[in-house]
Amino acid sequence: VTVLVLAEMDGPSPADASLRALTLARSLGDSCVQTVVFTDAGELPEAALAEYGASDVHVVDRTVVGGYAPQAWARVLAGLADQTGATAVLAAGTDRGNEVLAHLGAITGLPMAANCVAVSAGSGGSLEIVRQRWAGLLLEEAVLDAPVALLTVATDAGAAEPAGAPGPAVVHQVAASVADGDLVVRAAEAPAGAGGASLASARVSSAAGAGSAAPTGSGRWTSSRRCSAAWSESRG
Amino acid sequence: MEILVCVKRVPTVGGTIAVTPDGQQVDTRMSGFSISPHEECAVEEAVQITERLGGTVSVLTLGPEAAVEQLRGALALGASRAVLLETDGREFGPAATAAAIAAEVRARPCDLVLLGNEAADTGDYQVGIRLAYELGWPVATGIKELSASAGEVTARREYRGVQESYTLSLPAVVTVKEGINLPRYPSLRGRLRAKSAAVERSEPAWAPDGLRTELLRVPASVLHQAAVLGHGIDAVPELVRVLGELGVLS
Repeated sequence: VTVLVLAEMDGPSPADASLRALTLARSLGDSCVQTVVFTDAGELPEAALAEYGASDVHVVDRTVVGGYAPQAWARVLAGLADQTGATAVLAAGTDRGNEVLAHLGAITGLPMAANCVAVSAGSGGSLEIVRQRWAGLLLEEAVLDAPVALLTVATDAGAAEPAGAPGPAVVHQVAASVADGDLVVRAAEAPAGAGGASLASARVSSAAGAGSAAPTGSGRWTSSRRCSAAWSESRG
Repeated sequence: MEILVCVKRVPTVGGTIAVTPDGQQVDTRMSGFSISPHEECAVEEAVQITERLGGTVSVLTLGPEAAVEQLRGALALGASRAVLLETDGREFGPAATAAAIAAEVRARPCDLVLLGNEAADTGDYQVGIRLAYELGWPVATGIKELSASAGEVTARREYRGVQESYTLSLPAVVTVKEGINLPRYPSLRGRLRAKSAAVERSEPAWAPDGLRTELLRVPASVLHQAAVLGHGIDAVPELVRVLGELGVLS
C-alpha cells in the first residue's frame, strides 16, 4: 500500500500539521509513505520528513507551478498518485490542505473526507475513518469507499510522532508541467501586513481590561496605529 | 451584478451537541436552527456588493421544507430571490450538493456564487470547489476580503504570515470566512417583506457519496470538560485535589 502525503512547509521546515498527517498515514497498516513537497529552490526537508516515516520525497519547484496555485498543485498530486499507485492521498486539514485535496477530489471525481483523526483499513478495500464534525464537537465514524482515498487530517489530531526506525528518504525531483488552465487561479503573495485587513484597520475592535487573564499585575490590551495589537503590562 | 449565495440550515448549538440515541443524527429537539457565521457573512458581502455596484442577490438552500425559515432570514437582510432545493430528508454529500447547485446556476445564470468556507455541521470544505468544477468557473476559498468590479473580483486571505491575493474573472465561485464583514441585523421592513416573499422550489435527485456515515458521537474530551466534584462542603477535598493537579495551588 502506498500512501501519498502532501507536506506543507512552515519556513524551512515541514509544518507540524503535515507531520501529524504523516504520523496518521503510518497508521494505515503496512504502508509505504511517500511525501510531496512544493518548495522554493534550495529547501529540501527530506531529513525531517524521513524522521517521520517518509520513504520517498517528491520535490516540486514552486516556481514551475506558479507559486501557490491550488488547481495546479492538485493536478501534480493527481499525476503522482497515478504514478506511484497510491491508494490514499493525505494532507493536513489546513486551509491549503483542505483546498488542494478538494481540487483533487473535483478533478478525479473521488470523495474526500476532511479533518480525520483516525483511519484504518476496513473490509473490501474500504477505509474506516473517524473525522471531526461541528469543529470538533462531534466525531463521525464513517466508511470511505473509493479506489483512492482522499483524506485531510485534523490539525489537532494527536501529536506528530517520529517513526520507530526511520531510514533515509529517496528524493525525486518532479518535472512538473501544468496547463495554463490550471494556473488561472494563483496567489499573488506578499508578507502579511503589507496590505489587506489588520486589527488596526478592523471595523470592530475590543479591549479587555481588569479581569482579563493577565500573567502578572494588571494587564490590558492596547492597540495603536503602528502596531496592530500589543500586550502592555502595568504594575502600578 | 447578479449574486447567488448558498446557505445551509443547521442546528444552533452551544458548547456541546447531543446526539440521538441511535447515533445517526444531532438531537435537535431542544435547539433552534440557523445558518453558519461564514454564510451570514456571505449574505452580507453579497448585499454590500450589490449596494455598491447594483444588481440583485439570490439565496439558495438545499434542505427540507423547514429550511424556508433560513431563506426568509436572508431575504430579510436584503436578498430579493429565494430558492429551495428540497430534499427528502436524506443527507446530500458534497458532490451531490454541488451538482444540485450547479443545475440551478445553469438554469438561471449569475456572475458570482458565494458560499461559506465550510458547512458548520459536516465541515466538508469542498462544495464550493466541486461547484466551480461543475460550472467550469474559477474558485477561491477561505476569503477574508473581497473587492468586486465589473468583470472580476479580487479575493484576499492570509496564510502562515503571507497575504494571498487572487484575481478571478467573472463568473466565479468564492467561499468566505467569518470576519470578512460585520453582518447587519434585519430591519423590520425587511422582515415584513421576507415574510410574504415567494420561494422558488425544485427537487434535485439524491446520489450516493463514497463516504458513508456509520455513527456520530461526542468526543470524550468534550464530554469531560465539566464534572461534578461533589456537593457542598463534601466536595472540598476533591476540589483541592483537582486544583493541585492543575497546579494552581503551588
